[in-house]
Amino acid sequence: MNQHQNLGKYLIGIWIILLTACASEEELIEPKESFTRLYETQEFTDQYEPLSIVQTSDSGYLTLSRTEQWKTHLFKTDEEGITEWVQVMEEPFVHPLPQLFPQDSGFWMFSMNELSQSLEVFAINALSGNTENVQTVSSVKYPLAIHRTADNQWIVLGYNRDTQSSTLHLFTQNFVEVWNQSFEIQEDVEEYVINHIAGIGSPLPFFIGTNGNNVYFNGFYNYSFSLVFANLSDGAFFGTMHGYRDESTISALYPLGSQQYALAQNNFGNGAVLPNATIQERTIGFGGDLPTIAYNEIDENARVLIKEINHLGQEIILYGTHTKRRQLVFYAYSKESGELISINYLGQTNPYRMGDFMQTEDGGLAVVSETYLAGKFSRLAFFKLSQKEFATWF
Amino acid sequence: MSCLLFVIRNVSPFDFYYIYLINHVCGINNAIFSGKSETMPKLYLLLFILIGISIEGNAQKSKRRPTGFTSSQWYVGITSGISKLQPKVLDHHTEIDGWASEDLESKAYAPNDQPMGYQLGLVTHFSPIRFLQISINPSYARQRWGYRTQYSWENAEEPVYAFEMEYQHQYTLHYLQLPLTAKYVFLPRRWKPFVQVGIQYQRTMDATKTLISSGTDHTSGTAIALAQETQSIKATPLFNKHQLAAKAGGGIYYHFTGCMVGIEANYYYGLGNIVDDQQRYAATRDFQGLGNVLDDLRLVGQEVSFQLVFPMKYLTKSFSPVVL
Repeated sequence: MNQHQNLGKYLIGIWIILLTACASEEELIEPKESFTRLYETQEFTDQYEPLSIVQTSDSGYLTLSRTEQWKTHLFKTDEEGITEWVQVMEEPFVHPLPQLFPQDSGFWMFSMNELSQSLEVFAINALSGNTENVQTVSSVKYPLAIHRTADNQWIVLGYNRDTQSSTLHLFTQNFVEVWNQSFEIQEDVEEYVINHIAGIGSPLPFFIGTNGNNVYFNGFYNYSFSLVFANLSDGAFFGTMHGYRDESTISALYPLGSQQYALAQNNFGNGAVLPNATIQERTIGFGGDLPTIAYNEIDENARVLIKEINHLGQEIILYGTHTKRRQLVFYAYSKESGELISINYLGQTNPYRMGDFMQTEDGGLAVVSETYLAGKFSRLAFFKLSQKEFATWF
Repeated sequence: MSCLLFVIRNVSPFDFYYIYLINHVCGINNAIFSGKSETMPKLYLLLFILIGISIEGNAQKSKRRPTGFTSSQWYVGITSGISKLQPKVLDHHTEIDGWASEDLESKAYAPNDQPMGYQLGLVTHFSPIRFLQISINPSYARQRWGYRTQYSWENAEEPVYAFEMEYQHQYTLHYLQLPLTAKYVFLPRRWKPFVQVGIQYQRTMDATKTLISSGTDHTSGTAIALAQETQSIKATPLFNKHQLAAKAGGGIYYHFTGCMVGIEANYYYGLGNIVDDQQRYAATRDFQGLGNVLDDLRLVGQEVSFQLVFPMKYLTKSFSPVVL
């Protein structure tokens, strides 16, 4: 009998060991670290084009989008992506430029005055939802892109329909103009510019930035949509990388150092990337000559963003865009070697369009995009990946 | 449970018989089971009668009470059964944040939408004494459950031009289960009714999700039914790998000479959330449709199973099994 009682005890023992084996301790992901949100409005005709996402002082998120083609749409969420406030700016303030710039008490946002076509400056208090039109910059007409320089000045790309030229303006921190320059366009491109501003058809990849003492902009110049380099001190023309009309263009650029750039290209509907390009700013070249790597999966005229991500001390150049299948796709390259580290997709089944992405305070990734609920209704989608999930990309 | 306590405390069946007699004759069962007896007198009466009969039967044989080798038995066999489980929501979660209304999405876990599952396994019973059985029943089990979500959009200018979608989310989970149960056997003879309680460890081996989407499009002014679509996708990471459940129920065995067959019915009560809260969003990012983010769920329901077991201890002289 003892033998059998021992057997019983043995069986119970095994069972208890199995139970205790399942109680393993792991680092837990909190709800704010990883989530998906779809912002449903129940409106039939809503249309959203997300432009920018930033993290606010309370660890929430502020998203800037275009809606109703060119209206400014802002919404703030808490750290778990739950909406706190939504705001659509009334006309005449339309055509928001696709960036939000942090300042002491919130963010700077820029848009256009529909009546005067001037640049309008807004200060946004993300916590209260208060937006204040702090300044009108009349010297810039049809604003197309803006960038804050390393010494907190503003460099702006505009369009002058009277002289048919792209205009470049440098402002001080308080929007006092330092210089401006015109870059003449030989073709009539007004329709392209107006359509871009009004949100008709695909947006064009206007952008502006600086690399050392060079300022570069992507816009109309001469006969095509080109990448133009100028002197940051006075706006004097340096050189250009011509595109072919608006059909073969640089679609994104990120400066890596002197004459070094990571870039993306749109070639007649097919995407291409070049993670480590050497470009002589003071020469005239043709974008088609760049030794880009074709990524035909990138959607025609897709918004491409190039950002630098720091992952545990490793510098990574992360491209974000969407594919022809309407998946969000991210190409991670080593900044140092220019080698491809990984390709990652988000959203395999529902359709998505890239809006913006950012590395969050907790080392994760926040992505805002446009999706179609039930395949029909344009809505904003927000993906948040925890640091642990994001780390699997590198 | 009280029956088990008697066994554990080594109260002899005869003592129990006297308690039965005292209860039966004097009607003072409150003295022993105060507090519970008022609500459960019928149950206890039934219990006592069953035990009384069984003890009476055995009392006749008490002179040749088995000892040593013949005092215990061990059975090995197979089990198979079906289950019907109902998800109970512990906490709501959704990926949809409504700008227009507060509660846009609600998941409906209708009992009619919960299909049958089944389990198949091996079983071993160990009877250290004639009234007690300890059983381990390693099984493969398939549990199925699901929910529906519905959405509708209306054109503010023309409300009749609406669009409706319904998603049916069905989950099938495959487990390896290891239940440990203790049975109290009332009649250790040919017919052996028993009650049991147990705890079950289960390991999630695989999970799949099937999404059936259907809808009606009124956007043209007339209702057009959309073709029903079905998609299946792997959902294993969505669920906790290690889960626990409690079981309680009863059944009956019939002892043939060389084998024993049984049927039992149990109430199944999931101990805790089956959804992995670490993967709730990450594992559903690639799912089609809406309403994919799972609530925290506990499964409760019923199981019925059959078993065929064989005694393992035989008397070498007659080659007949030890019958307790």
